[in-house]
Amino acid sequence: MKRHLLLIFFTSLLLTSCNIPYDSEETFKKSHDFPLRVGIVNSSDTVTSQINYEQQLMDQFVQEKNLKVQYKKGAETQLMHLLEKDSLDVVLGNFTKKTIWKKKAGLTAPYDKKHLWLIKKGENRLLFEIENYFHTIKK
Amino acid sequence: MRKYKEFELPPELVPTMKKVRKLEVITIAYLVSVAVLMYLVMGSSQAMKTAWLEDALSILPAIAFLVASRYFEKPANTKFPYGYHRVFSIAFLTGSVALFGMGMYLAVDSAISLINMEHPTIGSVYIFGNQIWMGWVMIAVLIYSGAPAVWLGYKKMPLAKKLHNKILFTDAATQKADYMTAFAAIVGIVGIGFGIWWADAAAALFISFSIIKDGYKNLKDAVSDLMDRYPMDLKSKNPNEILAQVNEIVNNWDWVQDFHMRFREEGQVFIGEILIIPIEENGIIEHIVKGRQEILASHWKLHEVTITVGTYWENE
Repeated sequence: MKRHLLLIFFTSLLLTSCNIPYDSEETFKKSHDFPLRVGIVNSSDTVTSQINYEQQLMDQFVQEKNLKVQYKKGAETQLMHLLEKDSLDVVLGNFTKKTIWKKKAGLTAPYDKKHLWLIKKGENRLLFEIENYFHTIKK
Repeated sequence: MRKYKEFELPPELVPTMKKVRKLEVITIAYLVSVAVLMYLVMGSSQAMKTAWLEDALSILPAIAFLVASRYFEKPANTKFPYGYHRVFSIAFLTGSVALFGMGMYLAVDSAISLINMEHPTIGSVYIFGNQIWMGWVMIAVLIYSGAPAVWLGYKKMPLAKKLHNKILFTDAATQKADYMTAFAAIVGIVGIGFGIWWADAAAALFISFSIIKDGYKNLKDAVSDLMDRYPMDLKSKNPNEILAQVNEIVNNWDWVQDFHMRFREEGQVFIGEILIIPIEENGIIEHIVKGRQEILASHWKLHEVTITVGTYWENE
C-alpha cells in the first residue's frame, strides 16, 4: 500500500515536473497580461551605467519571454519595502551576493559573475526564467 | 581472593561487537557525506535546514557508541571500582539532550517562518548545459540521505538486540525511521515547486516534532537508567527476562526461606543484590558462593551480584 502511494506520488511528480517550479503568486504567468513591476534604484553617478545596463537587460528579458514591464524609480530602502509589500516584483540596483537585503528578498544568479537582481520571495518560476535568460547572455 | 569480573562480553559476542563498530564507522562516514551535500544544496528551504540538522545530529549516537565502546571494557581499578560500564549511559544522555534541544529549537524556528509567511526562494543550476531547478537536486540529496540510512538501520537492529545495547538500539531505530524525514522534506520541496509556499515550513514543523518525540523518549530512558530503574526489555518495555530467570533460580534454592532482589543496569550489564532469609544457618557460606556462581554463569549480562543474608527479626 505504502509502496503504491509512493509510486503514484513520484509518477504524478514526473508528469507535472516540466512545469515545476511554479510561482507562489503566479507573477511570471500574470506578466504576460499585466506588466512586471520592476524597481530601479536611484543611483549616484558611479553606478549609473551599471544600472542602466541592468535595465537594458530587463528590457531584453521581457521581450524575449513576451512579457510586459513597468518601471518605478526610487530610493533603495523604499523600493525594497515595496518589494516586501508585494508591490514590486523585481528590483535592479547593482546588487551583489553580499547584499544586506539577503533575508528580505530572493537573489537571482549573477548575470556577470558578480551582479544580480533581487526578486520577490517565493516566485520560483520567475526566478527560473530570469536565470535561464542570464545563462543565454553569459554565453 | 576472587576479584570482580573484568571483561564482560562473552567470546561469541566479540565478533558481533566488531561488526557493529565497523557499521558505525560506515555510518559516520556516510552521514558526514550526507551533511556536507545537504549543506551545499540547502538554499533557503526550511525543510532542508531541519532535515540537515537532524542528519547532522544523528551522527552523535554513532560517535557516542564508538567512543563508549572503547572504554566500557576497561577493567575496574581503585579510582573507578565499579568499572566503566556507565560510559554508555552518559553517552546516551548526552545524545538525547542534544536531540531534544535541537528539536525544540527547530520547531520554534519553523513555526516562526510559518507565521512570518516566509516564501522560500529556490533558484536553478546548470548541469552540462541543462538548467535544473535546485529543488530537484535537493530531492536527489534527500533520497541519498534516506535510502542507505534505512539499510544501515535494518543491519544494526538485530545486532543491537543481540548485544542488548541501548545506544545502538536507538541509533538503529532512528535510522530505520529516517526515510520519514527525507520523505517529509521531499514533500515540502515539491510543495515549493508547485508554488505552495507553506508546504516547506509545514514539512519542517512535522520533522521537528519527530525529532522532539525521539529526543524526549531517549531523554526519558537515559534519565531512568541513571536513576537505576529496574532493567526493562528494550522493545516490549516489560521487566527484563534475564532477571525473571534469576528470580526463578533463587526461588528454586532449597535453603532459601524468603528473598528480595534488586538489579540495575550499568551500560549493557546488570548489577544487583539479593537479600536472602535462609531456612537455617548451616553451610550458609557455601550456599552463597555457589549461588553467586550459578547466577553469574546464567547470562553474560549478569555482571555482578551480591548475596547477603538477613533475618526476619532484624527490622523489629
